[in-house]
Amino acid sequence: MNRKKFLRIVLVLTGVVILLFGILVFHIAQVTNPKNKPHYGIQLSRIDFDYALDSATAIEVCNYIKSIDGVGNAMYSYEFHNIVFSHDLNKVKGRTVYDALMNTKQLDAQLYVVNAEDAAKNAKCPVVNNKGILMSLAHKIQIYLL
Amino acid sequence: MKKTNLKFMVLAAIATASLVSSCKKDDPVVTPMTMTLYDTLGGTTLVTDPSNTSKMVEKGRLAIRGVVDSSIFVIAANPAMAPYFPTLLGEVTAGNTTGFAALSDNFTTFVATATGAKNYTYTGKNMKDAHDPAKNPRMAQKSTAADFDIFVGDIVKGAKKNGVPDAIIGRLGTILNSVKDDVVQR
Repeated sequence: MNRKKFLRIVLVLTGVVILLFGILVFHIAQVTNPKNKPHYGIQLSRIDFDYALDSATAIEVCNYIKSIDGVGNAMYSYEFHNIVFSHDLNKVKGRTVYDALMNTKQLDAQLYVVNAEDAAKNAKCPVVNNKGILMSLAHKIQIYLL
Repeated sequence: MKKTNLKFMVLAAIATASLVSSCKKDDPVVTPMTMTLYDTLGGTTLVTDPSNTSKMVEKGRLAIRGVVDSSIFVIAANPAMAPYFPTLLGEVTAGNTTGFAALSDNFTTFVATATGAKNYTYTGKNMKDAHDPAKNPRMAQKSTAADFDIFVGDIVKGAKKNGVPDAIIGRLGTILNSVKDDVVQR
């Protein structure tokens, strides 16, 4: 095999490796991009009531919360006298929804705020291994490419 | 008489040939298909993802996600679960994945894999390490049997809200309870 042919093969192989690596990076970027995940930007908030609401009021309050732009679902718990609602953070914050509710209805309630100690735990999900090689590679791709 | 014998011999030859050919060694062995829970919930059939209509999602995963999402609402309402899931209701900086989105996605993958999904892989810690504060600093405290039962109860409530039949809830409960010994560490 002459030198020219050998160099051509090396060049082609290098090109293939670079191309495959590029495809891998693109794939990881697509798969791990949070914008491509369901529920992107959706968070939950909770409003705790000082007393139990009757079913008519609970439905009325849930419907009012759901009518606010950016709110997805709202659920009243008869067991714990609170309402949990999902909202798109890009449109509305939980505090805004709470303020709107308090300004509209005569209710004694507080917006649940996670205490600093619990918030510091940053416990997104205890079962996810964020220190794995794949997770760290995906994280770097997220930072540098997206 | 000869004609009858001939007919009999021809029929016997055909029957023997068909028996021999139907018992060839290299024929694949047919085994009865067992439906996994994932298959029962819709399996790998692709449908449009209602939360992102430009994407397709497996029907089984979508069904599980529905249950998981309903259950997360129940968990978020339950003050006993608050210490375990602080980011569910916490403030989120713009651009970061919310606690709800992360938990929904991760828990859905975990349950989907446990129920028989083939196209998803759970890559997280094993259940014992994941629930051991010494090995997972994001686990605030060791969970108790009582809290685990509350958690499973919340999942059941979420499934019921989602209209999941009792038989399927029972199978889901069996899967969740199978990791109880690993999760409960005090």
